[in-house]
Amino acid sequence: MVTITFDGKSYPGGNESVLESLTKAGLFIPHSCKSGLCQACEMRLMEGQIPNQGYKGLTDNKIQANHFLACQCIPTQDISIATLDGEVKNISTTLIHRIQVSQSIFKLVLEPKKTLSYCAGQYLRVYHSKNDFRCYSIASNPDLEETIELHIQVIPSGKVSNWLVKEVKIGEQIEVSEAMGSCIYPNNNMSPTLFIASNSGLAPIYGMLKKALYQGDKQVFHLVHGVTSEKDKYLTEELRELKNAYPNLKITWFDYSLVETNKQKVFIDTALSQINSPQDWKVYFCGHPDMVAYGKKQSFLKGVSMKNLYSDAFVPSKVN
Amino acid sequence: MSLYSEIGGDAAVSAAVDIFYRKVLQDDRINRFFDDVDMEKQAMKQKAFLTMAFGGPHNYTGEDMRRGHARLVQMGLNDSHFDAVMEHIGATLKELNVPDNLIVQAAAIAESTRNDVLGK
Repeated sequence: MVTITFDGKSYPGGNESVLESLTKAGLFIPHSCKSGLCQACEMRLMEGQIPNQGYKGLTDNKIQANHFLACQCIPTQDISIATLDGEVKNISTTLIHRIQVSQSIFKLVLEPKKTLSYCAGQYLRVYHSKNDFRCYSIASNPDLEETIELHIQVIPSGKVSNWLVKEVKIGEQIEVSEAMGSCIYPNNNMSPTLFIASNSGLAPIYGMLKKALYQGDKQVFHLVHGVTSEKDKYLTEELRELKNAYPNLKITWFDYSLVETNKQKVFIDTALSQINSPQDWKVYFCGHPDMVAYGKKQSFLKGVSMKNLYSDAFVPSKVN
Repeated sequence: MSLYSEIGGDAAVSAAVDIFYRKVLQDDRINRFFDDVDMEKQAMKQKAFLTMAFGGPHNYTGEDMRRGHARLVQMGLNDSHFDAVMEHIGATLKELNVPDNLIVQAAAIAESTRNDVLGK
């Protein structure tokens, strides 16, 4: 008999799947095939270890992010688990640096009070108050940086973004969650990789690019960064330096304001024109949800394999 | 040897999903039923369905099939759409060079879900 901790409560488990144990206890966990195929019952392991069967069919990225399948996981020791958008552990950080980097974006650097482990490309929640948070992607490289760099796009009526860039003072505490998300850059990758970012979608991609290049990956990397207008371009110096140091990196900037109609199509066409053998490439999308949805579909239709598409859509908050 | 392992098991299904999903997304008769915002989730559902059609391990019941497709039936899913999907399953297996006698077997399994999928 083992104990499964979920949402602050304990449930008996063992000799059956986590899905069965929680269902017997009267909880509803979304599921469908119960064979480890449809992945509807994907959850996140917060504490403890599970047998390998629990990771059946998941991509390496999801496994690295501690995701598992409730229908396949028969726990052999006590575990603590959460739904993908559920409970998280929080960590206190100190704001140590803040600078405006474009007309709409501020760069913030947070120093965690204790080690905050993360993968390149993940995001975390930044708490304004106990139940009020926004998600921001991490622009740091986990192999070399212990501080957390965030790129805050200022939303005109946005409560949290304005609080972060105007009210919080250097040296003050900011509560964040542990890192989440499976749009990450792995420790081993041989495939040529195209990174497509719109506006502050550059944040996670900058973190992933640094990881890829600093760990010595030699294949071709293309970064295509779309910005609303010239004044929204940022990190240009840092990116140029990276490009000078690593000849396998190519960067294309795209200014949406110079395009009259079909902006998303022109942007994605420009980005995808970088690749000629789509079946070999990995493609990452970070930024506006419309760009991400359209770009993924076009890449897939062009011939990029579904397993080589990674994305993080920056869905705007509806609570402002 | 089971149909599933003759076709090529999990690796064959994974290859089939990419080909099959591209076909349905480009087919104006049926793509509105597949045009999910979350492409990975949609691909996983297709993988589960194709695994079953290829005689692989699954725990689907007829009732699961009905529940899973009820929303699509409300959107107008009917026999003509099911026929189109059957066409694409056949064409996908052909593209993967699966022998005709195995394609016939897989098609028969997929066909057996018709009434449940269409809520009849």
